[in-house]
Amino acid sequence: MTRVFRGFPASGIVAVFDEPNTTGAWNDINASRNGPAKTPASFIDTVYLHSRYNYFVPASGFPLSKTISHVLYAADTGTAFGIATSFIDHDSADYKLADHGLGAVPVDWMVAANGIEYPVGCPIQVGAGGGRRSISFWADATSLWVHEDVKPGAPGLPALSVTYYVVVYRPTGDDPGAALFSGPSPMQMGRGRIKSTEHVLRDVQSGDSNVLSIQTADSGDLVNGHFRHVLLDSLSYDVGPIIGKDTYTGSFWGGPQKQVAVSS
Amino acid sequence: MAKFTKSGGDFELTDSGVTKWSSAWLTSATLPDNAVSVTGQTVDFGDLNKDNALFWSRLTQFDGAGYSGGIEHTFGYITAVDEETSYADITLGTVPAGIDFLRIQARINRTTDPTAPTPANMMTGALTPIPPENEWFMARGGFIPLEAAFPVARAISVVNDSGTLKLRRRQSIGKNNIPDDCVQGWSLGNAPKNYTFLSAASSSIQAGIVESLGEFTYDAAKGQPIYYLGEVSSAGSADHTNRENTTDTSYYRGGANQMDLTDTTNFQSVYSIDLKIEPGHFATDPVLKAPTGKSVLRAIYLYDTNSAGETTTTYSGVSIGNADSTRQVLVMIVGGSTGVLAVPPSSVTIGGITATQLALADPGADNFLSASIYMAAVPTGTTGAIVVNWTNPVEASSVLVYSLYHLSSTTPVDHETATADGTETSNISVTLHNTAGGFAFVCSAHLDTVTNGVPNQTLGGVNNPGFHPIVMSNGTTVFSSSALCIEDAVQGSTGTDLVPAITGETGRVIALAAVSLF
Repeated sequence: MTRVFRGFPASGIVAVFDEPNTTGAWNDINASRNGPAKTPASFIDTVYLHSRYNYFVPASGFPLSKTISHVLYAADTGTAFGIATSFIDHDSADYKLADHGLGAVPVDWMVAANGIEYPVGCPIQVGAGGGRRSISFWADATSLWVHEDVKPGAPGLPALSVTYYVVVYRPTGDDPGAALFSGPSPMQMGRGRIKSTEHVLRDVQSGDSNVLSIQTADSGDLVNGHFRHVLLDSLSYDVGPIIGKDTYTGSFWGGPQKQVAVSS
Repeated sequence: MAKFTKSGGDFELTDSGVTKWSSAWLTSATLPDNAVSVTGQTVDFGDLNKDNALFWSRLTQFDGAGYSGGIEHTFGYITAVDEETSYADITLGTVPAGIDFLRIQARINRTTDPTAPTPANMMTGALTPIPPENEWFMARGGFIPLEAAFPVARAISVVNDSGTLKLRRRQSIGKNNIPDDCVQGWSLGNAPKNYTFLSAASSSIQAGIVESLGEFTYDAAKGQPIYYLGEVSSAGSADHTNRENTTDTSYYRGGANQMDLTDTTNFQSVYSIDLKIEPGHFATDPVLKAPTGKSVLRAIYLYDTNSAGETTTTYSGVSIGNADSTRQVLVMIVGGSTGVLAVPPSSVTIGGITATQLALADPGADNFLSASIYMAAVPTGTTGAIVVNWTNPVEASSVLVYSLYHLSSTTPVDHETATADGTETSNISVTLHNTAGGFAFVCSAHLDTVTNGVPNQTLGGVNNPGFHPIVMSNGTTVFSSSALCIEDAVQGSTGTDLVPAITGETGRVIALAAVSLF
């Protein structure tokens, strides 16, 4: 099996792949040996670059770090119903992490806090009295935001300062002005998908200082009226009316996650 | 100057000597030709299953001459009956076989809100969507918690079911999770103690003294109270089943119950959901693509806080990644005991295969805890049970699981341990030799009878981007804390030694086990 780099201008394809065999002419897109170039989805494990794929290429100005001061939420004094008191206060807020300047909702973004990515709706802060501050990262055509959904609980939630590591990715579809492959400076491949002046998301390498992750399966579960969120190899949160009690009664422990980082 | 070259069988794009792309990398990519777009998908969570529950209480008063009177109350709740509902899956489309992950953007809009009944709904204001509405957010992994309010949890998941994308909806209603010292969702507040609460809604009237709503809901009514009906006051009777409403001090026997039991609640939620999904992959099986031929799949931290008195702890169905003839599964293990016992593992199996001990830090008898690292060759299966046998019963334990591929050797480059029994005045550290491009694993634990903190573990001498402390307790009595940490030598090693250490924990029982592999 030979790893090859081939371009097929008539088909608008450039690819790096492992030849499955040597049947047919090397420059014939319809040859069996070029199957990974013609139908990459059928050869997922042996295609390393393809002009029909999209890559995780950070937009200009990213990655960056941004410190957000999440506000304090006062104690929920409760609402009495007969002899019972229910703590039903709810709050929410949005904080801007960055302007991305892409003019449209980005194709993707990743945000980590303390080296760990938080899945949508996962709490980043829980209170002794059952309060929680759940965060989600969302984007519009101009900016990236962190949304917090809050139940202060009886004691309330203290303010929280978090430094986020933020990566917004640019679109990597065809650049009409770019060739399939051109150089030398800057050099680009796949109509602008990979450029020598940019960076790309790939597996963790020596010297990487900010590690991200791609979850390959569910990151949460719900049983007995309570959520369990499981983060990268370290944290699990059981979220419900009474955090820390024996509330979540399932057996979910998360799924595999692939560690990745932005190339230097 | 940028260059595109082939070296050692791999292609590289470099600029001024810096590699910008390499076919040896596990570059993450998505397949736009196989994208699935969904607009306006209706997701309906129905109303809760409900039942009525009534309380009756009586206080009997005596003076020196005997009985002097009493006060009685009747009040009612509509409760949610516990349920674990998985609605029928909604098919979204198909994706190619062999993909590794899904890039998912989602946008939600709740078109039907739960109604707010009159006079009061205990969940009003709380059953709100968790993610922002009408904005695009990332849902990597596919799990989207939608609502979490007492006692309801609702979520959707986008799952890849053998090439078919499905939208899964689940609704979970809890029960019996209000403890005596309930602090969130409910509080007894000024509830009269030592009153006798009876349930008129149950066919089996409980005559005992009920000191918490939790006990009441468990024994009599199922589910959780969600709606306060109102109260009827009366006095002087042992018959609570036919109480006539009195807002003054008068009361009757045999009259109609004036309490309005009409259910005006409706907790149905309906969403309109948009999804943008692209299947993705990591170029190939990580085994074949790492520069050194090695790779590690970081699995998940598991803990068992319900293992009181266990001499065997079983973690079932643990995900261990892709099967491969070279796969080694490594687990870092911490165990703790409330007894005055040493608790090292006596044996460990992974997927039924006996694991080899690579390092064990055991402070010995009287010191309650241990930290250890085990590994086994597990070539087949994507999940497996991890079974830890202990020399003495443990109260809690945790494991952190990694799958390693294409190691040059299963014999560690180095393995080191250090312990302190609480009498030392200095902290502990070890010097761990490692080979650049390999992996280093560090597992630590400490005992703290006051706080539930994390050992202050550091890895001196190298860049330390992957520091992941975790916390363990036995869930009932905070007796110890522990941490398991990982540092891939490949991330920061320059061939120098690693110096894992625990600092700031003098006078406490601490243990540290470290292993390097290549």
